[in-house]
Amino acid sequence: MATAQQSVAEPHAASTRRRRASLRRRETLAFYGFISPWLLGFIFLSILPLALGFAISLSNFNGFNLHTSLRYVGFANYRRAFHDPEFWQSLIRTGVFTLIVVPATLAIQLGLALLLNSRIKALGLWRTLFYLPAIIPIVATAYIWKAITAQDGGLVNRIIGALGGSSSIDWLVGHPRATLLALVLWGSAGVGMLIFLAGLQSIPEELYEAARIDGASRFAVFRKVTLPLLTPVIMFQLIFSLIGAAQVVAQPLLLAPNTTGGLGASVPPPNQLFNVQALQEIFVYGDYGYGAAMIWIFVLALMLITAALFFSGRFWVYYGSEQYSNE
Amino acid sequence: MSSLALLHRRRAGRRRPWTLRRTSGRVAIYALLLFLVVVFIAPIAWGVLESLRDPNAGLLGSLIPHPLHWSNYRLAWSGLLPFAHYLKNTVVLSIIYTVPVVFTSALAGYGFARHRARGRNVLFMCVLATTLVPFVITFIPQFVVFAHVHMVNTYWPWFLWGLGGVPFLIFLFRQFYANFPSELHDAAAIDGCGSLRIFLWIYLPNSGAVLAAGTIVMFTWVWGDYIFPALLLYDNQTTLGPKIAGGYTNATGSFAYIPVTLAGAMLFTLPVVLLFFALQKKLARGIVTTGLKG
Repeated sequence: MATAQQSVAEPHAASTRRRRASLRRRETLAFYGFISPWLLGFIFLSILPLALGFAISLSNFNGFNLHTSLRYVGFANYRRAFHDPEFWQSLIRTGVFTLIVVPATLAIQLGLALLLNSRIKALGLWRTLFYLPAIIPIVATAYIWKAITAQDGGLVNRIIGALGGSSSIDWLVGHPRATLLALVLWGSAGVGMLIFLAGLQSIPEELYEAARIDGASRFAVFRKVTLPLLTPVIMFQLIFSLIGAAQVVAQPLLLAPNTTGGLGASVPPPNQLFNVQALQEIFVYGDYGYGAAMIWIFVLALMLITAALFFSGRFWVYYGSEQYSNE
Repeated sequence: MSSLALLHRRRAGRRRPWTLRRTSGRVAIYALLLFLVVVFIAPIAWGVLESLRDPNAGLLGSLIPHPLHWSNYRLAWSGLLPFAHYLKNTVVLSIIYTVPVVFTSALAGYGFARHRARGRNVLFMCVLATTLVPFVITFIPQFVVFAHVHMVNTYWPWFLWGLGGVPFLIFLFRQFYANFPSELHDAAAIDGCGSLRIFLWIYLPNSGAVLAAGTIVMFTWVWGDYIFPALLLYDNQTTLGPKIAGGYTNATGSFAYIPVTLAGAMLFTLPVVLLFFALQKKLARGIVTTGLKG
């Protein structure tokens, strides 16, 4: 006990110190107690699976050979991926898909939020209606869009027909990506809209007042006040829609034409996104080692892009106001 | 600027004159909103409309089906698929996931917001970092383990995922509890309440909006999920997601009754829509007031 000598001289201070130390110990104990369910989940559902997944990617695991022919194959699965043209194709396809979806979702979500933030009547009702598609089960939305884009009797072909055009386009076969994009953009607008709206409503009214006094035009107010203060939210949404778009997997499976979806569905090539290919590689063809290697390459690429985006934030995200400095 | 000018300006702003330009601007905003709502709701309306067509004729026929085949809903409920059985599975699975996920996320959010300890900031960074990890990379090894310990085709994985909490909710609760008035907390602490009791008696009962927002977000997600039930459940244990995805067909599976499938999809959708309408005010409040400011 280092404090023993001091406690003779200052008994009171020592007891306070001891009490403070025990208080701190109790506080630490309470903290770890409260977060323990999450912490256990983090270790057993995130960290260990990541390590195990990496181990699988270095093996010839196929789901059944755990006790028989399982062996270490080094980076063979990774080399195979780099020489597999289908791997590159689906990687590029997913990149293009993400490059379309991310800016489009952000524009739609921010546009809706700006409209809803312009002092309209019955805000709650409008908000609810725009959010509605986001809560519909993915399976139901896929069937809805199949009915819209159906070759015979679909809504799109009916509209084209009514306008005097050719009305027998098989959208799901001929333009599968357009259908997928429509489904994804429509389905994900509501959540982002709500987050942008929260961001807009947290911008202090005084700033707008001040800008108006200075005679700023509406566009100038948007560019010089709204947009800079919204950049943290834009960053947040940018990263989450990037990760969301890169992970799209259920929609292409469910939109596969002439089938009823399912993991084994034959997805038309333009919709064979990376995750679709990787999941089918594993669960349809049983090639765990190769599928895990594919996913690891993909995840590393995604993390690099995310890190680059975070870093780019130094140049365009505004953290000046105290209100925005906590998280 | 001077506060006097501000005050003056604010007073003037309250009773702004109704100029023609302002009115037309307002009209344009409402017109645009109306147009966008039609674009957003039309697909849903079309789905409902198509669910009322003659099941043997597919989607062909006049724009508004005539007559309306409400019998499709009866067929979807019991004629071609034991809908109620899979509905029960979906309800059970959704509760098994939602209850623990909301509770443990609240616990963790409270821990991060109200307790100081070594490692807190690093661990909170870990919470945020896990949102950046795509699900497939952790799911594949989990699946291998679940298969090994015979948890495939049971609801255990959802319960375990629920216990682990969800980063988005932990973040939401942390933001909410960090701004919680500390007077109540202090009063209870002086009365000798332990941390857990303070959480259960003071924090939890006063977090209605966030609890509602968390519940609705997680419940609608797990309810409508397709990919995890498709990968982990089969036969009698599965939920409506994969079942409806399979569609309604004739006995041999050679002819798909598309309108009946859409009717089934609508029946599958209805419970979460009702839940959403019941809790939507709290959902917006829960997300807006907690300051999800990025």
